Amino acid sequence: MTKHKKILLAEDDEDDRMIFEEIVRQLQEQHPFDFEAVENGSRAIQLLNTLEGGAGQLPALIVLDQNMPQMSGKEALAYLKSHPVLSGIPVVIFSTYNDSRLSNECIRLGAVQTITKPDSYEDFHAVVSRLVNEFLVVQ
Amino acid sequence: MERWQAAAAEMHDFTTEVRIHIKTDGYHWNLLRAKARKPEDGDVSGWVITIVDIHHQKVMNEILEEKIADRTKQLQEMNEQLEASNNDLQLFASVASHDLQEPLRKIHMFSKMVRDRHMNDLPESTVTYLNKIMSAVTRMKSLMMNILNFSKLSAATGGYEWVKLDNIINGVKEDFEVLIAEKEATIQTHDLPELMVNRSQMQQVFQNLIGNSLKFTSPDRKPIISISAERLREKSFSSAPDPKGQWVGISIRDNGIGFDEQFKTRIFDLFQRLNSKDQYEGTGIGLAIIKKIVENHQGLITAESKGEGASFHIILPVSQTSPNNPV
Repeated sequence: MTKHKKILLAEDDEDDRMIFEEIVRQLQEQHPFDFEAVENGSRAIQLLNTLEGGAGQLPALIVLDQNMPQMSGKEALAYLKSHPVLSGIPVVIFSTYNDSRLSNECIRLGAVQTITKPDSYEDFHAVVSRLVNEFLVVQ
Repeated sequence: MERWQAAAAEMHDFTTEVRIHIKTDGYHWNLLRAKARKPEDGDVSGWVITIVDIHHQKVMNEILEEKIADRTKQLQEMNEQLEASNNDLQLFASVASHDLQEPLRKIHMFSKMVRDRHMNDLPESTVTYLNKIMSAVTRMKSLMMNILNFSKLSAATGGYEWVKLDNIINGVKEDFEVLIAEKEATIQTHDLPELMVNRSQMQQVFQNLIGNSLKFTSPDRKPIISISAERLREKSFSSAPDPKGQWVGISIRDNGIGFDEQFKTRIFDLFQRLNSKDQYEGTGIGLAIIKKIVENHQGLITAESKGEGASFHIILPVSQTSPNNPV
């Protein structure tokens, strides 16, 4: 059983998912960690509930895209932060545009960071790398 | 009748409207004027009564009032529709510009990835094409932000406050610090007043105008941008100066490439651009935004280009007395 820390990504846009996965593959060569991607907020919550029930290890970091169908990143965030066990997991919100009001609301709801989706692969890489260092490669 | 009794008791004249039945024509409104006859001893001895048929006037009056009420209702409905339509437009502009950013981001990102990863095995022309794709995307992003800002100007965003123009200009200078150094430009200010304006909108105005002056510089000389102001008696570009005037005329002059004077009014049209876009960047929407802001402040703006460079003249009221004014 792997004891590596895990990142859970909820992202409905397949291009952004693909880029994230490519970056993760590159980073995994340096520090081993686990990664799982789901397509929307409700799937993420379903998965987290089954993991919490004992099916497996909970992620060390949850990354939520804001603009998702059925359940937005912010809505999923609100749910997670009101859940007794899941609320302990740090959540980062990714959004397409720089909306300071949305950012503030997400921070208020308990997100550790809100990040605007970067414009270039290099910037994206830098952002994910920083997240891995901050939340996975600790202690 | 009560009026008559009351008037009698107090011993003064009175006027009232009465309806009198005309055999041939139904009830007619009449104006009855009664003058009390009060001889020396003070008691009312009688009344002089005059009656005037005012039926026609009264009927016309009623018709007029009904029409006014109707028209007012119509106007209110139109106003509500316009507000709704305006809200829809703003929503559309906001959603369109936000949603359009997403595919733009992708185009830029993937084009750059192709270029960066294959720069060594692609022919130079292909790399150029990719650069052109990315540059077009950047222009489109900028255009969308401008459209978004333009559409937001209709909404009352923030109120008016007393602002020293010097502070605004200093802020703009800081924003353009690098460009100013690069172009060895000088920005001079003279006698700038304090005005009641919407601070962020006025920042946009000067950012745009100074930005333009820094863009459209002549390669032959170091750019000098001069900003001056004087109090005016009237809201007119030919007004006499008046140190106590309620209007301020602000002039922004540069020594750049100027523009052809035949365009001096069209220069403020939406999307109007006078230079080919490759030579001098510009999305052509900036001046339309400035004009809108100045007009929202109840001001005027004009431009001229005689000889070297361009001059923009703005007239603004010293203070605002509008519903937006929180003072």
